[in-house]
Amino acid sequence: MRIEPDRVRARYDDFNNFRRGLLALKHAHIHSYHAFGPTNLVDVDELMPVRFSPVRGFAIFAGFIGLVMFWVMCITTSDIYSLVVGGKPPISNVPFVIPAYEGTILSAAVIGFAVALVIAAIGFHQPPADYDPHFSEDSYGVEVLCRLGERTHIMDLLRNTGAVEVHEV
Amino acid sequence: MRYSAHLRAVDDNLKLSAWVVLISVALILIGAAGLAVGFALSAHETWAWLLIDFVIFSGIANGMLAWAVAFRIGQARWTPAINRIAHSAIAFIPFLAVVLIALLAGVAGWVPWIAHPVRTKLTWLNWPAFVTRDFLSLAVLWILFFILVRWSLNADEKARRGEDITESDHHRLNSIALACAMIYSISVTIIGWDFIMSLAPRWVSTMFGPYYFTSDMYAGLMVIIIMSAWLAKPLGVEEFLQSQQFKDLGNLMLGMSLLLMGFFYAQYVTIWYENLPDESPFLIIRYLRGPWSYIGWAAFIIEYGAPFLLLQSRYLKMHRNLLWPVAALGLAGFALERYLLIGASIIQTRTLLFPAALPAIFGFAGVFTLLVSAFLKRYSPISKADEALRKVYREIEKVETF
Repeated sequence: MRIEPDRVRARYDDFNNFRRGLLALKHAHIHSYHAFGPTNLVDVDELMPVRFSPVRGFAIFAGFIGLVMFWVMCITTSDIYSLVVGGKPPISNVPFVIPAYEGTILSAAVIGFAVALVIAAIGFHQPPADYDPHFSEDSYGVEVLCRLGERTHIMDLLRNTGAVEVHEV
Repeated sequence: MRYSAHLRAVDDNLKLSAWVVLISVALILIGAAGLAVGFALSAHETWAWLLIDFVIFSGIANGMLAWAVAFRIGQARWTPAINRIAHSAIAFIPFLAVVLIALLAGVAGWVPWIAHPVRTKLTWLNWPAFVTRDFLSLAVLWILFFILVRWSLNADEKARRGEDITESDHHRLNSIALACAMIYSISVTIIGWDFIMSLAPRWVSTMFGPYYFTSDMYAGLMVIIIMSAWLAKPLGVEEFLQSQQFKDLGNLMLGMSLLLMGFFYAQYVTIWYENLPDESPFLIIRYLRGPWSYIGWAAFIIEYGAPFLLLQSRYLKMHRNLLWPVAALGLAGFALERYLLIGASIIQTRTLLFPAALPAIFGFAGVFTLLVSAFLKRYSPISKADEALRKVYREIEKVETF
């Protein structure tokens, strides 16, 4: 019994057709695909499926840690040192919001930036092993992950938008 | 489809179903009945209700128009449909003008400083000056808004006749938008001082004015989001209101919630530190002690806290059906906060003002729905001047790329 291939790849030699192909996938509610091209693909960014960035997760986590850390720092320093507080309670949450807020932003920014650098350095988005070198020269490519039974429909859809070559991977 | 053909197809596309009209009329009748009963039985608290409804809905309408102004000043290229939705608030302004005149005519019924004058503030808090400056402030602002929308609609007419929208048209719109922005900040600040701060006449705050007009813009933005989500399909402008536009609107709302929390905190921490007898009671009544404090923190969480946390999600911002409920939640918080600001100055021992007049807010909502729908039904849902702006920038980009 033949196993259904799970990937279909299309090659376009024209940017507008490539864009039409992505638009057709989006309108067909197909959300699992990658795009390749020799130029910056920022113009088709809105046609690409939404992906979760690990940097955002790290930044949110670091922000939360910064918030707690700086708040605790305020409480401990107020508790240890005899600060002049002008009649206010030495440990008052209202003014502690300021350093806690700063700590949130600082930690999230520093950790987020560091994680972005690390991910970029370790090559988080390596091209697939069977990457078509045309996509770095004169063609644009779309690779679609197909569910069972979708393959023919997706291949037709890509051909109809002007792909010069559509094949299973 | 060619762009011009598309415009013809979407013109007059808003089909207002009979049940929307019916419900709106029913809401207006309920609101009017509530006000009538209220004035008959408890005039002082009914004036307060009318004032609350006025500050909520004038805040929404002015805020919506202020966004049209902001997008024009920023030369936004992604908002031709959003701008027209924002313009639609102009249809509600005549109704607000009538309510304003009623409020100013009955000013003795709702401000405390006519019966109990504050000697140190007599030059500011006297009724002739109060009525004159509030009437003039809003009249000037609304006239400028009318001119802005009129000129934008004139550009639509030019496009319909097949004429080009010239640089001079853009220049005129940019100029009036700048004037609107400057007058908006001054006029709405004065309204905040007079319609809210003067109810607690001994209270002073330099932060309240900016907080007030910025929170009005926040409310306007939330209504724009709700209307964009609901009306994109009936208006036939889904092409102009895609997930990217909703993501941008969601990001704006997120930024505004953060900014307003900053304003709120800046005012709160200053009063907390100074602990002056003229300033502190305003916050103590609303946020620390007594029945109003629960409403105060509930309003803060609903208006700013919850939207801020929910809007961290990009997925939510990109899906209109998830975004508009967050905007509706924030709007409920906005209304609750305005209720708190005025209500706690009127009565401090209980949190529910005379309930018979409560339905007046539904009457305002009904009038808003009818008038704004009529505007959107009559005029093109795409602001051609803003669409032309997009084309101009595309040409510039092409030249730069070349």
